[in-house]
Amino acid sequence: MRLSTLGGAVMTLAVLGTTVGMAMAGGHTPVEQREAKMKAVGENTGIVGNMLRGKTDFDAEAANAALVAMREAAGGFNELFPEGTEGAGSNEFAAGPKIWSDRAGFDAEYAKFIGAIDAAVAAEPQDMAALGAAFGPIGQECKACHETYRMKK
Amino acid sequence: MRRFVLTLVSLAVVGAAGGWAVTAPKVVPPGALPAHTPDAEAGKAVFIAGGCASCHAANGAEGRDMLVLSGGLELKTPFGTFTAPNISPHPEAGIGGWSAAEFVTAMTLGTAPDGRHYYPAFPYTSYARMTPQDLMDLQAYIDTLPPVAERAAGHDLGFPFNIRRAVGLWKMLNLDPDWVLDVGGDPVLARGRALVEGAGHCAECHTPRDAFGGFRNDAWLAGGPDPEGPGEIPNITPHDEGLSWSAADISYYLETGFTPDFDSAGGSMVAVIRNTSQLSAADRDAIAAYLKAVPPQPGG
Repeated sequence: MRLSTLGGAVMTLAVLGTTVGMAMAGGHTPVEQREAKMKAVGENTGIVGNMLRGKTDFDAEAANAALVAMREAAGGFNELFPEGTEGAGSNEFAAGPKIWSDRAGFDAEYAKFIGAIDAAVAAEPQDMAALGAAFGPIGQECKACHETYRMKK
Repeated sequence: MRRFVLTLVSLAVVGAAGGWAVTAPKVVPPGALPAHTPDAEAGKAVFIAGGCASCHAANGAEGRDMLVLSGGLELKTPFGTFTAPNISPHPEAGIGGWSAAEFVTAMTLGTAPDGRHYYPAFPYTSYARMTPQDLMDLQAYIDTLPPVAERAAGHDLGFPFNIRRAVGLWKMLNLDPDWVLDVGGDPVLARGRALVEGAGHCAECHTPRDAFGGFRNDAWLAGGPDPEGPGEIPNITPHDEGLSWSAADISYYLETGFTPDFDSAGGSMVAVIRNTSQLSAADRDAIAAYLKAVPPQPGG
């Protein structure tokens, strides 16, 4: 009886430890998580963008993988802006006040961003022209959101 | 800021006491214009380079609506709130009734057809460097756009900034149509200079100002505090602390809004990219060449 209670407690602690460990790996505050997500979006944008700019060779497989990874990183991004985190973080740019004063507008802009990535993933571009056409609307959404909802610190 | 206010107040007093004449608005007489048949198509390119729609289209306008120049955009500054006026070709509410001389006068001397000074929120300090031919083409293009019958709201400024006549003193100090950068005979740099120092009015935000509100030409395009809110306007001179990008990087940014690291433009610069993305590649390259040629400045 005592042993099984102890065993249960150890199990609970072990599970708890694993959960905490996983959370730590992705950053444990919403600010760290949203910054990590935007960084991943930016890195995958760079993979696609450098191909479109002619700085790297076109690679359909790598481009499509980058679009999928971008979609993965962007998922749930708009849920990481709790009250009181305006301007938070260590980057040159941060979340601007309009995210909170115009939440509906922010969510709508985010939905357009996700829609643009989903469409690009579904298009499965196989050449430069198709990649450019698929990526164009995503790039427009980067600017549209950063115009209103991002601020320079 | 307090120093600036005091300066302006004392200038206003001096102006009222003895200098009424020197604050008189100046005009370009009709006879001073060159013989030129206005070309609306050429004027469209001037309109894009000048970024007219960024302030004079209704706030939040997109696509075709960017050509409806109803005004209404509010510019909140330490002096009060400026509201961009209706510059659609409506004969009463807009600028449809203006002569070519009145239009060139407004753009280069900041004087309205009724003789009042415009506030320099309207960037005539830069537009003063535009050619009369470009300005006549621009007017012809604006005449092709939809007229809007409603006037935009007036400015809401505190004392002493609501004394328009005092703007005459400001102009005496700060309205100087000479070029800032000597480009020799280089045609690409000359084109870049016309776009950056003239129509594109880049310096209006990117050059710091002195206590009298004039450009500090010794820190040309070196950035500084953002007058519209928190944050800094970037230094875009070719210095390690400024813009270290290649000319190709600058052209690409002006075309797509992406930095070399594929971060995107944000804030007010997005509206600028909306215009520069519509310029010709040659014009974007000329801007880039000019920005690589200005004296490097630290800071920012």
